[in-house]
Amino acid sequence: MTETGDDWAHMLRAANRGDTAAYAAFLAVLAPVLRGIVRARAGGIDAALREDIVQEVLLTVHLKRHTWAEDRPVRPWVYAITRYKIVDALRRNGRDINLPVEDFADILPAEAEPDPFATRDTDRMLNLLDDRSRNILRAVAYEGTKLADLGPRFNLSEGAARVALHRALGKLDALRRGGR
Amino acid sequence: MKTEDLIALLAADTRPRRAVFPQILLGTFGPILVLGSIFLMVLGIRPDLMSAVTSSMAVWKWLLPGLLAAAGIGLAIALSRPESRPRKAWWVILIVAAFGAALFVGRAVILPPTDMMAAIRGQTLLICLASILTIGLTGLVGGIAFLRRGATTRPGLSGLALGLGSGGAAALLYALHCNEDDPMFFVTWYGSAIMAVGLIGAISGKRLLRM
Repeated sequence: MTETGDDWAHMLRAANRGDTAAYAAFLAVLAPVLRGIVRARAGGIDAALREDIVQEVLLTVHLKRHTWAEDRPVRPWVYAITRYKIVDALRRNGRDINLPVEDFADILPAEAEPDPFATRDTDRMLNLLDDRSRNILRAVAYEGTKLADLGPRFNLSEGAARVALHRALGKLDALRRGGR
Repeated sequence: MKTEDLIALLAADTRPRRAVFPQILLGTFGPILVLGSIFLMVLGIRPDLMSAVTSSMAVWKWLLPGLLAAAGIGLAIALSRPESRPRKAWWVILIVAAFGAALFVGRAVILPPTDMMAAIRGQTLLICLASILTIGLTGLVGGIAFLRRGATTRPGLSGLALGLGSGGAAALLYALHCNEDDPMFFVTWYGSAIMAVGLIGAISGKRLLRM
């Protein structure tokens, strides 16, 4: 099943040039791969918590994507972040583990469970956010509001809405890290 | 929140990313240069700088901290990529430490034991420690602020590398003022101050650089 990492690099490079569709496509192929890795390596944890880890990796990949250099393969970069997050999660659950990152490439991707559950973690963090950040994130995630429409709705210019969305994601990530 | 909703959310965030490496470099060396220059203006640059640079022992006061500054900051930047496993820079740091120790021992064996303590103590111990620590710590603070935008999977090591690099750069500047050229003095006290900044870097890195 191995798509070569080159497809990923291609998509991410396009994303870096402002191609949102390529970026969404990249995240969409990444998610099942992450799910497979997390299931294989943190199988002892229940499914909802595993999906939390998947979301955490996605958020980190997103917020740290400037640390991927365009001339390097994407997979080792993604795997390193994934490994770090799994180890972190397992440690929080009182386990200490040894995860050779070399094995990650051989793991098959996994689809979301038939009835895709909402994960608890992200929603818990959402509730801890300030009102505006939470409302912006909800509007985009649940109602599919476009950036251009966010502005009028929250009384912001488009540029300010973009910054607000970015900051809100950063706050979400900070809450995840601080909340444990 | 479903994962697909999260993906929609992430894809909507189109804020452009900026490369973090130049920022780390500037964030560390910028404050060091500014504060270091102020210190040098107050303390003064040693008048015999030119002859000191060429005299055999004193030259290591610049070479060793300079190597450490380059290796430390290089290592911190390399580690800000999650997948990197840099090794060469650790070797440079080890070699600098070993070389410093060798200089110290080389002096210790030729100096009469009665003079040893005086050579280590020197005349300017306090101002030396205070200067390198203060200048080095500003670099550490500035560097960590930007290193947080990186993605290290070894937060403690990243902080240690940044601290050693900042301490090295601070010592390099302070050495322009300091006229104590005995390796027993500068290996001991430059070394201690640099290691202290490194240690503070490791501790704060472990807390502040977690992804």
